Amino acid sequence: MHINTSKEQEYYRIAIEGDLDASSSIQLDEAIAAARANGEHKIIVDCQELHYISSAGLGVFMSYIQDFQNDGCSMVLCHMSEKVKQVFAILGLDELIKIVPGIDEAKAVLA
Amino acid sequence: MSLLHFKRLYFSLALISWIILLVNDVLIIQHPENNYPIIFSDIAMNVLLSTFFLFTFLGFKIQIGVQRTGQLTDMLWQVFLLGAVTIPITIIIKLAGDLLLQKQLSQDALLTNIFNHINLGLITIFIANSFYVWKKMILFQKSNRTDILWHLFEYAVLISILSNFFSFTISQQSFILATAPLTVTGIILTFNLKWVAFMNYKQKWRSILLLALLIVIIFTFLERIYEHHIISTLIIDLSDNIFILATMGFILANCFVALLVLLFNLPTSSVFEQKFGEVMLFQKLHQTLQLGDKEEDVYSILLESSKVTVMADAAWLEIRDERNSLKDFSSIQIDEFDVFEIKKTLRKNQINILSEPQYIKNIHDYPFADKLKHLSYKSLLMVPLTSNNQTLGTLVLAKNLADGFDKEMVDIIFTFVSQASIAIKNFRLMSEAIQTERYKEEIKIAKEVQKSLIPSDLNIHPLIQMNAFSKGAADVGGDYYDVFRISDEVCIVVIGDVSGHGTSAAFTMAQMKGIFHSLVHMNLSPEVFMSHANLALSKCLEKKIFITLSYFILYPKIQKIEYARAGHCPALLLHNSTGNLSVLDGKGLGLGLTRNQSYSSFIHKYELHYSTGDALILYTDGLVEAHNTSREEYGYDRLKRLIVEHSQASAKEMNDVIIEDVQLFMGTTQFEDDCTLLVLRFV
Repeated sequence: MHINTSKEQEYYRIAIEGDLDASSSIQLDEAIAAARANGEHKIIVDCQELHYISSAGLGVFMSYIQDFQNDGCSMVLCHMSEKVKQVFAILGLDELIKIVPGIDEAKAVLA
Repeated sequence: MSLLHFKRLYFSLALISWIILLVNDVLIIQHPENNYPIIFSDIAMNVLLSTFFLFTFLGFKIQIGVQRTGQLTDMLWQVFLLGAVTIPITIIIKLAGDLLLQKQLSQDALLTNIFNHINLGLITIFIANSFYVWKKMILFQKSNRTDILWHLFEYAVLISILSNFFSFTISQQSFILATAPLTVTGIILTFNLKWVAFMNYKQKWRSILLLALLIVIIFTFLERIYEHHIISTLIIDLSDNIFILATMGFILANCFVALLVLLFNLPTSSVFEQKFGEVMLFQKLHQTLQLGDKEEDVYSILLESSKVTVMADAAWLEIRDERNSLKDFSSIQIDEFDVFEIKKTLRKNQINILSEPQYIKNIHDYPFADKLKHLSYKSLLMVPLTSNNQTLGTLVLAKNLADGFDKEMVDIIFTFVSQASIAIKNFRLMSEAIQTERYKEEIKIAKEVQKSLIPSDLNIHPLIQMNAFSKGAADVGGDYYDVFRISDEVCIVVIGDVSGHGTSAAFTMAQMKGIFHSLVHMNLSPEVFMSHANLALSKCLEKKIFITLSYFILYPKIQKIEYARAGHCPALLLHNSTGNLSVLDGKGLGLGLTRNQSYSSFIHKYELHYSTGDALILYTDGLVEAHNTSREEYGYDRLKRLIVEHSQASAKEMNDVIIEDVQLFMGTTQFEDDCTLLVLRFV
């Protein structure tokens, strides 16, 4: 798995490539923690190249929900494949985390 | 007859021979005009003398032969002791003889001959004893050749007893030529002095002393022989006896040669002793490796052995553990403060004592060595202990001499260190293995405990047939299912999955079971149960851990299901009449995903009715996410198709069919994730 981060205006983009499993979820955790530490509060997680997410990967997202709420930050997931989306849906996480089709929608949500 | 009987017999025969010989002597002297012919008496006398020699020798051959070879100096001591006992007797006899003769002022042939005869006995005993002790010395660490040579020599010597029957002139050329081979053999054998090398310095000095005394004893005997020979007419004159003179000469030669060799060996004996000591230390080190002693024993043996072997003035040993932190420090003749100063100086000079073996000829020549001025150590040898590129520690040896370690010393230290490294590594591997074994045992217990957390009896209601399959990826897992009968009308079935695997998931699963059983009898509505469970879990779940759970209330008599699905894989309801499947995918959030009061707004209750013959299929994601070698998932579609195909199967058959199909798909029976399947058939 590989993580790319980039900054577009006030949006901080975290792009995930590959499988998000128990070992690689640590990288994602670090990336989000780093973004928060930098004071980023508009985070877009681009899941275009995310092929698989395990419960450990989901655990990373869920663990930040409360933190984001407390900080007044927001995180939006976009470009999610149907399969990955289904995982979020079954778990009910789509109720807690904003998932949108594309970057523009993400920016719109965060604006 | 045993050897000891033979020995006794030989000695008895020797004694008898000697006594008859004595009687014969006395008879000849008292009755010179004896009536039996001279020739006969001569032959008889020689026969008796020969048997006396022979049996004394054979007796001692057994006597010495059966003795265990102990210390070499002890053997020399034995020879000396016999000499020391026999010599005073000879001297007393001489003095007594002198005294008596002075009084009588005349030559008393009888007395002289008796004394001579006693001397003959003593000398023979001494020689026989010495001869066989020397045999042992000569054959010490014998080679085949020496063994053969000795046996030839020994038999030749024993045969030479027959020379009693003939008269020779020793100085005759023909005689010398005839006996030359025997003499040469004797001389060759004399130079078999391997035993000298095995003596230490002290033993050598002791041996030299003993040999010197032996030589004195032998000369005293010779003096006695010749004095008798000169002053009186003897019936048996040992000074003419080739056998006695030859053996005595042989022993004397041995003593001389050994004495000289020992003397010349003295200067090198310290080196030999040291080498020998090294071998012994090495053996000791090796033995510690073999015996199940403690790891700490290896440290002290390595430190002491190394220091002694290279005669270092000080030494210290640092041992590091797996995380490279100091585990043990021991030192000899240097205190920790000085070690600290030396290490500081080394560090300032960019010398890392842990990385590779290093040798410093004189530390005082290095910069930053000012603080070491008070120390007398000059040369330092530093050898790290390593095993598989892992540093186990460092041995440092210091000498007051500049450039005090030569290549030999360095080599032996390297050998010591590598031996010790292996030993330490072995101890560590051993303790690791024990630890692993203990963990395995613990896991086994955990597995048993977890088994007990899963219901063994699934017959909760006569109208519900139930069958379960559950297999963990590891020994213990995070899948959970449970059943509970509240009344004839109400039964509860629950299935869940803790995120993550292994032991931590198993613990969470146990917590889930606790929560289930503390809430279930309250007969709560499913979504209320979930809210309570979420609240309870939010206090004890790890931050990134959540649980998916489906909670079913079954009313078998009215054929109704109430359920809430907290993020768990949707259950499937097979309708027997149509063969269609319903997916029970009501909305609901996994437990622990949010840990505040808002949870209740994310969980919902659903209700549905079923008919007789319908089946409810519950499972965890390990089943649908099972994948084959090309990473393809088993998926919902395959599962649904299979269930529809086997819509008439019993709960047990359905369960087996599904699991077999999944395993066939995976190409293995081993699941990568925890996998649980529960099939309920309503009758």
